[in-house]
Amino acid sequence: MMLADAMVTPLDPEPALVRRALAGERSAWDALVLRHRRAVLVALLAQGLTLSAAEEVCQEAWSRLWSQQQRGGLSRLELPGLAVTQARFIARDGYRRDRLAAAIPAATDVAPDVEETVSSRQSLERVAAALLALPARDQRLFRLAQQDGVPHAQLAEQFGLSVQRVRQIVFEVRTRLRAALEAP
Amino acid sequence: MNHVRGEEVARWVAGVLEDDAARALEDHVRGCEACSALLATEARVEVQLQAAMALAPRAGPWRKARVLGVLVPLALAASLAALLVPTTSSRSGQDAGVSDDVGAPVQVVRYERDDEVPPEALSAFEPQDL
Repeated sequence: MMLADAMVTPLDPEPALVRRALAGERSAWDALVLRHRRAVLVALLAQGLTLSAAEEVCQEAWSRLWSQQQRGGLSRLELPGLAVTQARFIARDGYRRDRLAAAIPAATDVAPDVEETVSSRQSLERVAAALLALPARDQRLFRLAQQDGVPHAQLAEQFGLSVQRVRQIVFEVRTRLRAALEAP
Repeated sequence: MNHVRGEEVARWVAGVLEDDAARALEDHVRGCEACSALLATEARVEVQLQAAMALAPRAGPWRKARVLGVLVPLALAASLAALLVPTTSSRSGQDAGVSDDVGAPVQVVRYERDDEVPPEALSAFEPQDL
């Protein structure tokens, strides 16, 4: 049964939105799509899709998830992971192959060699250590924003900061972690 | 619009670019091969950062010393051990299943560039080919 849509705000917590989306509330679904759009796009861009192709695949992924929900086939909604899974499936499966083939690099499925894997792992461990060395507040704020997709407005309220300051912290932390990733 | 700057691209990927600037960047990137390549590079960086976050356990300040002193070396050792075991199975690079529980053990993630599907998501849902 479709529930009557209630107002959705950027401050709505994720679990509440997910419950409402799973109950068939379209506005909650749309809010989740908006909240996790960037994460899905970034995952596709990292695979080598162009922005236009990534947007198309992204839209199709959300559409399929919504259809799945409407058929009662969606009991959990863990985002952005589920949407990324669906989007990558579509990209890999050659959705609209003629239009996307050129945007998906042939090397996507080539496994990295051992040296590259070790180097990658060491880089990730450096980043992980850099993250853990951050002040507790910055670490927590960054994870909530980047790992959990909590909206900046919600974080601003939670941490007693302005949205602008939240964004500044997120970017400063990211810049620091990026430097750790690229350190020789 | 001129070509986008690296910092703007990084801000877009990080989700901290103002809405208007983000839309302008997207409009430009759709028609610019060079900036599209820049965006792809930054997206790959973001995926790596996500993988690294999955590697690092969430911990409060009182746990930090223990985490750095014990868990990270354990993760390093486990990572090296994992390299010695050939496998074709997929693991999550953007492991959404990492526990919030500060007492949870480190989940060692074998990072692969195109592999970031949370296993629990796969078990909960099969992608649809309509």
